[in-house]
Amino acid sequence: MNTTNRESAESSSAIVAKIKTGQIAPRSRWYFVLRAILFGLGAAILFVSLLFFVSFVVFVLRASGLTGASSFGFRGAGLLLASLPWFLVAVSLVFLIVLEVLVRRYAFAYRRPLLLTLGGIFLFAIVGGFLAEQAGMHRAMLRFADERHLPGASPFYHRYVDEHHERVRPGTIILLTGDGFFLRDPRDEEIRVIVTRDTRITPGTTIAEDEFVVVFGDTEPSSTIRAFGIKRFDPNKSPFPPHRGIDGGSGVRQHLLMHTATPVPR
Amino acid sequence: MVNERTDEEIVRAVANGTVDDFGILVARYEGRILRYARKFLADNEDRKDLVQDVFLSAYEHIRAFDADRRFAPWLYRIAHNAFANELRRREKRAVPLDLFSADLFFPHLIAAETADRDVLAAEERAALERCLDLLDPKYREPIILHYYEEMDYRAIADVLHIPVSTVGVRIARGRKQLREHYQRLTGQYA
Repeated sequence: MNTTNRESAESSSAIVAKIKTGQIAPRSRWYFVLRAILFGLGAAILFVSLLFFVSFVVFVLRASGLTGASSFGFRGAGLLLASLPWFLVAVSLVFLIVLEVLVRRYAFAYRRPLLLTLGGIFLFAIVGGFLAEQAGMHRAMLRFADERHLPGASPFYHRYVDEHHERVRPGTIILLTGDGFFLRDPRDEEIRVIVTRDTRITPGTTIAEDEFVVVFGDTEPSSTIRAFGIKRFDPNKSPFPPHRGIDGGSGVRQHLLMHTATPVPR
Repeated sequence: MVNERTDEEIVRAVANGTVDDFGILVARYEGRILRYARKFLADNEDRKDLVQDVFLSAYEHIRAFDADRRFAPWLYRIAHNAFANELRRREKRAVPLDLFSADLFFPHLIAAETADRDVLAAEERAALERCLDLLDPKYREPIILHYYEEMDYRAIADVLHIPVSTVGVRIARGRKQLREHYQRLTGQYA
């Protein structure tokens, strides 16, 4: 016991001697303050970036009309999953994981199971992302990027917003036909939509000229889509200028009449 | 003369420049940290140097210590990092011991620690002495901290930066493994 006490005293003396001779010095308080600020800043930047990507995914889904697909059962859900911008989803997941690793330095995070903290961050990101998108953040940013010709920003937005989904078509009904209608999409493409007995039309959706709808269906030749679902589309969610129907008796109407299989009642 | 100041009071003094007081902390904890190193690292010639490095690192980071918290878990955390790095160096492993281990992920319904559950049967005590270094470091460490360093689950959670419920799970699993190792060992010599 005396030997142990003596050894301990020698050891503590050796350590204090190293300290007094300047071999080791305490880091300044400011070092830790700055480090804490940097970590906090890093976490904040990561969280804001995560919010940006989540809200952007929501924006892209709304702009394309894909969010309406969930109204049409497994078929719609399958279409939604297949059409997700998976690269953006993967980037969001990476941010989520890195953020989790950062916050696990702190007691409020490491004392709790991973599922809770990851789930908490995920929930905040989803709610925050939805709110940010609802506020029109991305529509405003897209407009700003286009007007100022911001390098990087405008192409980034258009890369996803202009993406063409063959089986999901938002647009304006321009002409009714016997078996459906003609739709003009944001790219000014005219698509023939076939409505059958199996087509589900959600409550509140009106099939009439000048109405904005999203059509979900399988594509057929000659710019035709056989709809399995039609839903009212809010043009305010679209990043493109709203489209209006054709004033009656125009050349376009004649052109459409010539190319439909059944006569169109006037 | 016994110094009756708390660890946290001493740390405050050291952070404000009273270097000699750090020797008091070293004297209080060196034996414990050495025992922790002996149990965790098993055979290691450089234990004393490692332990000295732990205290020097603690001194270097003394101004980061939040005096509203307890000093012991903070010091043991520094020791844990040093010993884990040493283990990784020995095993030539790049990845931390349990970055995203499965038992960190879910909440566990394991019973909270109680005095009854903490009493080790005689056989378990024997198993602990003979088979501790046969355990996975993931289970070995919480058992050392709980049964040798007499830390509660919350303090262990602060040392290892894992959920409190996971501490309980790892101790329970560690005890089970110890019993299995011991039965295997004594079965050979029975």
